[in-house]
Amino acid sequence: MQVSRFLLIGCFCILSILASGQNTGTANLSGRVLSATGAPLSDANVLLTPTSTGTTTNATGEYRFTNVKSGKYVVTITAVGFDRQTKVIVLKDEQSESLDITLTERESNLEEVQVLGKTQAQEVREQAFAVNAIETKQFANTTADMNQVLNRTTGIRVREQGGLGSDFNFAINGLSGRAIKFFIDGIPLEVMGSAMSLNNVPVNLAERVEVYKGVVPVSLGSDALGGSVNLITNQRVSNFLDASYSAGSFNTHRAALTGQYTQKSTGIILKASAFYNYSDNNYLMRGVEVWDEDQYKYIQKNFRRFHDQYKSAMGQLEVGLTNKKWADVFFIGGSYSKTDQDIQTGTRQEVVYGDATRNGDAFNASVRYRKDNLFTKGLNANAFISRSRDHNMVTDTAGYKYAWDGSRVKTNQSELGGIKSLTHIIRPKTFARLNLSYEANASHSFNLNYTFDHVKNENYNELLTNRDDIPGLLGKHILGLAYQQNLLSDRLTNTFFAKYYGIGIEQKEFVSLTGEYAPASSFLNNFGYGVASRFKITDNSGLKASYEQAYRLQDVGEMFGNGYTVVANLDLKPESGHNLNAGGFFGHRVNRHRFFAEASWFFRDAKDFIYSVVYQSNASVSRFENTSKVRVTGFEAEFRYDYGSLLNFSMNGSYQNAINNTKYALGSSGTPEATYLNKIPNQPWAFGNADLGIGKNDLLGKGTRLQLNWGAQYVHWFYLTWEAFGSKASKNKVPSQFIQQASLSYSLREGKYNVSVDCRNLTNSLAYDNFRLQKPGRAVFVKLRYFIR
Amino acid sequence: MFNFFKKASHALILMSLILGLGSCGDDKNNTNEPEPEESSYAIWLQLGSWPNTFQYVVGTPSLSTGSVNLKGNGVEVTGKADYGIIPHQGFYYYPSTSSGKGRLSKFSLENNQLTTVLEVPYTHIANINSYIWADDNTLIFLGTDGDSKKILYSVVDAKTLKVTNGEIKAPAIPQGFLNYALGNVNFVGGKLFLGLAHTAQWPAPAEKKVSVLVVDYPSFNYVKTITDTRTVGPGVSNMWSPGSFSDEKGDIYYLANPSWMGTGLPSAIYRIKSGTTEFDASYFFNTNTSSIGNPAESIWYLGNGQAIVKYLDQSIAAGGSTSQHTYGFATINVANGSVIKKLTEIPLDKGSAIGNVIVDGGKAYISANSETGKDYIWEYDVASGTVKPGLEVEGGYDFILRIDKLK
Repeated sequence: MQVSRFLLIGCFCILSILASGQNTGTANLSGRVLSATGAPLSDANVLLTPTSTGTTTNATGEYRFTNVKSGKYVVTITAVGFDRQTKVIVLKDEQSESLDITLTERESNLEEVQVLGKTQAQEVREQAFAVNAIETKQFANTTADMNQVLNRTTGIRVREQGGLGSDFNFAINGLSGRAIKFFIDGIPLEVMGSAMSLNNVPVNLAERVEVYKGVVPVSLGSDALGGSVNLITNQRVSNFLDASYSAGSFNTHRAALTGQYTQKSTGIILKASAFYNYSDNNYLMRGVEVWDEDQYKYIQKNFRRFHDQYKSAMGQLEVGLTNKKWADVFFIGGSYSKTDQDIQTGTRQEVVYGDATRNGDAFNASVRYRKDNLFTKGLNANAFISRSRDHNMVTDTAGYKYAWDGSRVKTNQSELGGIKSLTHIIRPKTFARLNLSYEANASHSFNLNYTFDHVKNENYNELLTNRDDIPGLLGKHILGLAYQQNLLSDRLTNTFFAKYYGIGIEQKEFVSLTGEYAPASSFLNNFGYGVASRFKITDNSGLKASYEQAYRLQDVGEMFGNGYTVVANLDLKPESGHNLNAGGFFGHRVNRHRFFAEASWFFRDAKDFIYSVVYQSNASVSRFENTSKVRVTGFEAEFRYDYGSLLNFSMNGSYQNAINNTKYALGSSGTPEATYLNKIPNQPWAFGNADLGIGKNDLLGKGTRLQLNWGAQYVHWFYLTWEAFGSKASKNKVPSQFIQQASLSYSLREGKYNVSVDCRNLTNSLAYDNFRLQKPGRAVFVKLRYFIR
Repeated sequence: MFNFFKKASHALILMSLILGLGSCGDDKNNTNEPEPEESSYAIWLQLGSWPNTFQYVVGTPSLSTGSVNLKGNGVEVTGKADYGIIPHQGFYYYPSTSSGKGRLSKFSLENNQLTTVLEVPYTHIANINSYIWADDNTLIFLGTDGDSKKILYSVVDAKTLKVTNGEIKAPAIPQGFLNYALGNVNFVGGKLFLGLAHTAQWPAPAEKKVSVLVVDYPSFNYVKTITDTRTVGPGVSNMWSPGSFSDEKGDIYYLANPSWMGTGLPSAIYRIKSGTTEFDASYFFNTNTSSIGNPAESIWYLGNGQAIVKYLDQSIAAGGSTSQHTYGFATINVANGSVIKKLTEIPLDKGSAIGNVIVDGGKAYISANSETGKDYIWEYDVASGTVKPGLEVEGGYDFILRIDKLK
């Protein structure tokens, strides 16, 4: 923890002291962007259409496009606080054109400009893929973490077990668990260690989040059966610093820092990001049962959680160069993260723990390299390699049974089940990614992506042994090739892609005949493919459809077991599915009114879900099997309305119908299962969100903004078990939830200084994501944030 | 401003209701719940593919005729109980140490509801392996502590659920072995007889010895250990499928089934004659070498020297099939150690540790979960030896976990 704090403070100091600047190279089209007063404008966006190429101006207002094909182009310039400008220019063979542009200042600020041009998130939304794109800017002054932000978007349900840092289940269109993969800038989040998780990464660390549903671009090279979440950090070359600290209910303290500094003379860039989270999570548990000896019965009372402290910290530093002959980007980086967590309950709140803990830390070292126009024009290369070591420990040695009043009885039994344990889970990991993109011309482009992911999985109970005798080795090779065509003046976009999944696994296997371990290994090949298409009816509206045959590959532990309680199953198949999306979007702007609506229908047909199966109800031995099939169909829609920078409103709803498609139980072939074609239980199937923001600039002085946000989420109740079976009176339900939150923020000096008050669960409702696992009641946080660029 | 929030909330709720319309039709199916009849028996069922497997209990007036299903019927027991439960004189007793709740509950099953009559804290025994009624109001639990290194007991007053706890000072675990593994307990002539094995870490085999501890009641003082070295694993280590019983004369029978504890060893029945604390040297019934030809997993006493054994039909896996329907039933004359017949009318059942059999009014009721045909509670007439299908369990459930006589 000390290391992380040091990093956090260190980065803050370095980045605060240093000043800005950057270098650019030669170009075919170049120029300067100036204000009406002649001052250079940095960070103006310059877009060259019909290519999708864009750049931003440097500190002296300069921009450059190199190796642009000759022809007629429209240059569009947008900048914060200025009117948009467009110019037409003809570029001739082997000539360098110069184009200086003067922008007129608007009487508006940051938020206003979003109304005029399309944000990057909006561009992503209009892609052929079914995608949620979220600008985190609007949440930057709140204390939300990534999960809370994504939970408000269509098709996504994050079910948390408790407060800050608690376990969660992330579902995209009804598929969850290992079917969902998480990335940061295209690199799997797990590379950074298990502390990097969506339940504690503050919103300020990423600039944008993209959630791909069911159909995933090849550039996110992974076996994501249900979809992928990609956090995108600030990729600009300019200097910036975003530092924040918040404190509030349940003794919660959170700090986040992200920033970048370029040394003008050498071109050396320093990037840093860090966060620190602390919470006692001692929220009130309402109406929990405790034993009253005098009355000789269990009575219901309110108690505060007493063993749920959570601490996590992460620090990352990258040093590199940009715009050198041999590299456009070259970075060397390292990160360290650490988590300490108490465990308060089992999967139901009746099961109370008072001693069990979970701890973990992870190191990571990485190298990033990017070179555009490598060997030939239009061929861009992107490479990443990293080595990390993640160590987690679960301590379950106390041997007491706890109650909500904090009392305990000696049991000599582990709390979490099974024997007492000090379980170590050690995962050294090597990850490499190579992405090559080639734009043959404005209409045809290719993308080749290869990832190699090698992990060793060591798992042992320190109370019995000091090492894992049979560590599992897993090597995943995922190769993806995509071909994209932009036809009819970019109105029709088709992306065809194919993916190869190779998986090599190795572990010693227990041979029951000899009673010894023998080495076992296997290499399996799978192929997937898909297509994504979009047709734009107008500039702001269109139709899209996408399909992928997707996989979730087997894990080492699933194939080979652990040698004693879990036996091997070499016949295990990967989970696979057919994922289909179809939808449309419509945008319209009248003066300062802007509307945007999107809707989509989806279909998932997934089979061979892998679960651990205990053979006989009392057997101590289990085996992973391909047990079940699920078919999900659903519909989701979102509507947004903005009025200038004064008001924004959005509303969305999601409906999904997940059906058990497993006809025969495992090891049975005659009678179809009773639950065949029944709705999958214990899964939210109807939910919606509404968000409203009202803000006013310059209300309390020039350069200030006062902003009030309100949000609400409704989740319809659902059965814990199969709907059709059992009398209604005896059936358990997870009740409907209507949870509201609100925040008030005040920004000074064009967003440089920000202070906000954030209230979650405004009405102090009893909140449940899971059966009998209460979530926090009303909580209030204050956040201070400093943002400069 | 407030009005706007209110309207927005209403709009959101309205939208959710529209989205929810699809489910209203389904709800109607469940509104016509059957009028519950007075139930004399209960059947525990498990259904759903993993991980959505759930247990239910449903009452029925008869096991001989009619049919039963769970469509809008029966009690969902998730979070409340499971089939490791003890039926006795119209009530169920459920120690929830296995689920981590740390309670001892007494339930009644009436009108499609499992109602809690009384519930007290209970944590003494981590793994309850066996129980016996010393009298109609005194329930004895036997099991081990969390490390399986102590043998513990609890004596429960069934009316008040007041519990007296203690430890049986048994001989130490022999060198080379790690844990006690308990089998069923019997209570004869003021003494408790408790099946015992000493196990090592899986997959290493257990100590090659069948042991039965003899313990005085109510002092719980250790008396002696009866042993034999031909196989291992006397009695079954759970609360639902018996591996031992005592007959009308007070003779005690132990089925020892080695399973993983001793690969290659046979399953065999031992006898301790009434009034003695020794195995009957003249009695050793090897089911593998009998006409059953397979290891037996559980045994139920039918009266008049007859018993039913559930055996694993090893030929199915040996033939390359992955079917889990591998368990058959056979009747034996346990008194003279001979096989009466295999009950081939009954289809092979799925799952070994199942409470398949109850005996009531000269009949044995046997549950069997058929792979291809209908599922029945089969009725075996002890006197005539005839088998016929009784109550049909409709619906293709994954496991028929146990059947109980309630009253």
